[in-house]
Amino acid sequence: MNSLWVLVWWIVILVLGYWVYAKWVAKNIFEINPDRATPAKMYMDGVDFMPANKNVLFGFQLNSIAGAAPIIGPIVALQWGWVPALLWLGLGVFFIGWLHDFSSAMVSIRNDGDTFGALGYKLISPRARKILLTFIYFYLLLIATAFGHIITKGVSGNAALPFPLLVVIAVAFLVGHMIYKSKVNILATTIIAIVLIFFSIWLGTVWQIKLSYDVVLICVLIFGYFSSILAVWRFIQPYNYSSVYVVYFGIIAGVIGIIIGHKPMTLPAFTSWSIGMGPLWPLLFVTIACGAISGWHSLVSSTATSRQLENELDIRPVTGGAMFAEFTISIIAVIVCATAFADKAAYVAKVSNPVGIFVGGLGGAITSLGLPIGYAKALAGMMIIILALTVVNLVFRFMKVATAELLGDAIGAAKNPHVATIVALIITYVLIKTGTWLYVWVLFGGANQLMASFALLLVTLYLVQKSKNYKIAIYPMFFMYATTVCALFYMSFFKLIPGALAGKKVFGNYFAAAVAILLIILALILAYDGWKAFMKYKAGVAEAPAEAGESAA
Amino acid sequence: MHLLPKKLDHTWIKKIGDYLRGFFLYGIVEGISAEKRCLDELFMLGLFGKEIGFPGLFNFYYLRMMPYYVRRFNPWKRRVLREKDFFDHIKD
Repeated sequence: MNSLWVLVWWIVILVLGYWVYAKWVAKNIFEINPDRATPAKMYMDGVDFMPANKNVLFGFQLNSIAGAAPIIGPIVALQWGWVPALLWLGLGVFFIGWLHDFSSAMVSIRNDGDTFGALGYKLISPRARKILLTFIYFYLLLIATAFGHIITKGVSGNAALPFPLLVVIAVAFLVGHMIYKSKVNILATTIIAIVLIFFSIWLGTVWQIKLSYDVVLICVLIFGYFSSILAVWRFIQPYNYSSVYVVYFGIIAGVIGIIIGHKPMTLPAFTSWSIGMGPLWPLLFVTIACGAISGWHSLVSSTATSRQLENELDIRPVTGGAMFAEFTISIIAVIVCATAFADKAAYVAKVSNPVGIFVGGLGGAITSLGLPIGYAKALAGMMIIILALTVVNLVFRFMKVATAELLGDAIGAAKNPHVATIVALIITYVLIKTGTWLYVWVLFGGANQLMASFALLLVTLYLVQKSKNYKIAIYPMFFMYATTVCALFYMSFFKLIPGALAGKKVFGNYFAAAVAILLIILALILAYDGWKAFMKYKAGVAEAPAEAGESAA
Repeated sequence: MHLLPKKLDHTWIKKIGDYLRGFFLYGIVEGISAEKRCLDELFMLGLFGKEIGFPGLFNFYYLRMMPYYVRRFNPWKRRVLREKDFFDHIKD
């Protein structure tokens, strides 16, 4: 089948999902009211609470949610075939993904811009905040491990990447200094950064540096350390800003390449209900997280976006629109990989190095534009590594804060940023070195989707409390909860523990299984508290407090 | 921060410009605003710190500036006293 037919599926989901279903839900379930004052207007402080134009926020939201996961998830899931991957991507985003992002922002907006910790405390139970934070810490550990391995494997396996990556990091420091300290014009700064980065990618193809896995891993951890310790403006922001041009260029070039190349889908449409990794349900649904639904988005929607939306009418275009845009990125990833490999066995053999697969796929698509194959492949490699590094540079920072919040009162040293960061780095290092990446990826997907089901639980409780139709949220919540808990259970008891008992990667497999079991226990406690809260609201015991902005409207 | 010349300020071009501004620049703008707010809050602490137990170092200037800054007092108080969550600390 020609790959362009996949775009028909994309259009159907987009039109029916965004313009029909999402519009109906926004109007009839959440009763969007353009006259209601949003937290951004009520508490405007110029930084956290700041009304912004919906188009600006749409770009910001997309930039915040789109990392490497919408690309890597589908790459791994293609082992079941591209039809199951496309079906889950489309149906997932249609019924759950956009609703999750949209309703997370909506509930936060209607609760004074509260974040998830505060909402959990208020809507579920006082201990929900602590449980959520513990959950987030281990979720972040899985993210750090999954992406740390991807970067390390990708860079150590491609000698064209180390040099441009060093340049990108140096450029980030330069850009930070130019913008914040030297006050250089942003246009001039941007041009200098882009020229340096794109030139370095070419130079990297000429001046190749071969690094071992261990050396790259140490470099990645040092990168994580500085991201966590330095001020945001000094490194993270300039890094994200200067490197995103490569990603943007890669996506645009990939789309044009797909249309010009319009190659047939060469990988099998469907392979089997159960592959070496495990059965299609529940594993496919957690392997593809971002692109279909991702718990990370609810954190972004409820923390940043909900405090900046100036009108309730903007919530659907900003959050729902960004989710459908991320779905589009996943569709591109499916097409470029399913058209680049004819041999399924060769594909499966390479799946532990998704960067290598993506380089082959997108690199091939970009050559349709006339770029030399070496440069195109280096560009594709840089795109995916840069995306993965944007995740890593946030994760250790988050872990540092979570350590201080969780243990700060009991252990004074946990409040020390260096100590908290180094502890996070050591745990990550141990799991990367001893674990099995493919299993860790599934655990990461499971934790991510479980986070999404927590968000949907909060949305359900909010809807019950307000006597609105909660069924649109509770069914997706049940589905995600059951799927993710089963996936974590399956990985622990059918893969990790048997693997360790058989003597394969004993420490890493036990460690990963312990993390998965801990996540399951936390999920069960939260589900119990959620159920009690649900029954309480259903019985009408709790008086629904006045919604934020109602009096101001 | 305008990315486009005014003559190109048609609706759809403006929308694209806004989107690009959000995608590429909004994080930087936020960072600059956060840095500015740090300085502002230090200034407010210098002015109103006396009310919460900080020694008043510049009483003469404090009295002269108070009429201009007193309207900022409530938003400042709300912002400083607002309960901070895990996610609020990440930017610190």
